[in-house]
Order: sequence, then C-alpha cells, then structure tokens
Amino acid sequence: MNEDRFESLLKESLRKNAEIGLSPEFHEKLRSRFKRRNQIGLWKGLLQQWLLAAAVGFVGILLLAIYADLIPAVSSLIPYTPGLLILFFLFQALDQRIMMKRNAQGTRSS
Amino acid sequence: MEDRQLVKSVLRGNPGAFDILVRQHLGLVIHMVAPMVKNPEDREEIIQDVFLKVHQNLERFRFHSKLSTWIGQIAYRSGLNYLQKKRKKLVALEPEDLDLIFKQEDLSTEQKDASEFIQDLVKQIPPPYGTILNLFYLEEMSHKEIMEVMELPEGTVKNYLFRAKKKMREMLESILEKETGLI
Repeated sequence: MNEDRFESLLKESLRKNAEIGLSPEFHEKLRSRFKRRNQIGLWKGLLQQWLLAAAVGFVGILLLAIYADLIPAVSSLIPYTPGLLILFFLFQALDQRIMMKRNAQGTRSS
Repeated sequence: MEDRQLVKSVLRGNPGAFDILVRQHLGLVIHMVAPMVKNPEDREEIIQDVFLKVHQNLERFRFHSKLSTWIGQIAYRSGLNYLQKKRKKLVALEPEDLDLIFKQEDLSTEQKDASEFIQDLVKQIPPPYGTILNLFYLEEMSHKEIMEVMELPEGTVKNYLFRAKKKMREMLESILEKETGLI
C-alpha cells in the first residue's frame, strides 16, 4: 500500500471517528448553562460589592469611634500598636520557618 | 470573522457573537476532546465546559497565539483533567506500548477491507496519539501549532505522529496480508 493511499484512508477514518453525534439540545444546554453562570456571576459580583461596602463602612465607623474616644479599650491599645505589630510579624516568621522545615522533611522522606 | 473582531464582539456582549465563536471552534474542540473522553454524556459536558471556560477567560486572552490554539489548549487541559479524575492515565509513551494497545486479535475476526481495518485501529488509538492525529490531519495544524496546543516539545509531537502512523501501517499491512491478501 503506498503512502498516499494509507494517508487518505487514515484521514477518512479519523474523520469518521470524530463524527460524534452531539445531542440536538447541545447548543440549548450550553446557552442555558451560560445564562445560569452569568446570573451566578452577577449575584457574586453584587455580594462582593456589598461585602466590600460593609467592610469599609465598619472600618470607617470603628475609626470614627476610636477618634471620638467612644471605645476606650481600643484607643488605650493604640500606643502599643508598634509593639503588637512586631510581635505579630515575629510569630508569622516563626510559623513560616516551622512550615518550611516540615516541608523540607516531607520532601526528603518522600 | 477574524479573531480580534470576534473576541471584541463577544466581550462587548454582542448578541450571537458567542454563538459564532462556538460554531467556529466546535469541530476543533470535538477533535481534541473525543479521543480522551469516550462516554458521550461526559464528552458533551466537557465540550460545554470548554466553551464556558473560554468565555470566562476571554478577557485575559492577549492574542499571543491564534484564538484556535488558545481554545485548543483549554480543550486539551479539560480532557486531561477528566482523565485524571477518572484515574485513567495517559499511555506511557514508549514505542513498545503501541504493541500492547493495538490488539491484533480484535481486528482479525472477520473479513474486512482496508478502510474498515484502519477504522478499527483508529478507534483503539489512545489519547495522546489520537489527539495528535486529529490535529494534524483534520485540523491541518502544523507541528509547531500542535506543540503549542499540547504543550509538548516539537520533537515529541513529530515522534508520536511518526510512531502512530508507522505502527498502524505495519499492523494494517500485516493483517491485510494474512486475511485478505489485498496488498
């Protein structure tokens, strides 16, 4: 069998094999999934905007309250803020070191 | 419609633009997914997933490649994910594996002509080979384009193509010699 004959047979067989029947509702289903996903996306977007607005509002009110000295417990912590931040970052660095050590051990043992 | 025009049109939300995109690339996606997903219902769902992912990520498409190449990549990855979920491995791609895949006893049970034998061989061909053959012969992609879509080195693409064709041809010739003496 020559190369051309083989190639044309192969091409024809591939074509036949790829002629898979999609169901008649394929495009309709795709459209409805597309619409549903868009609606979910829309709701998600709205929810995210509401959450963001709520968070910004909450922080704003908190700052105002601190500024107006309405929350003495919080405002009394303000002078210690740098110290607290340093402690926070120290803990985080320590945590990361431990994680890295664990990962390295895991890699070695595997 | 040109890639840029089509993408812009879909992103602007022009009615019918996404339908055009689907119809233009449906054949490609089928050719990519069909060799990997044999179950018709799963296959249809994955083809739909591919187009939903395309729409979801279209605004990130930067025209560094052809739109078809990018869609092909998404389709190929979706097929691979399906195989991984089903815990089906892609065939280990060694030349001797093709001997195990093509089972001569499945082919030589009845009198057939060359085109029927080759049809049977094509049905048996495993995902990476089937996908490459489809892209090369049906989508008429170059080695370079196949390499981009499947994220494989060009040498590997050429090698798979050569290997699959050689093995199929050898088998076809040996079967035809034995069974019908058609050669």
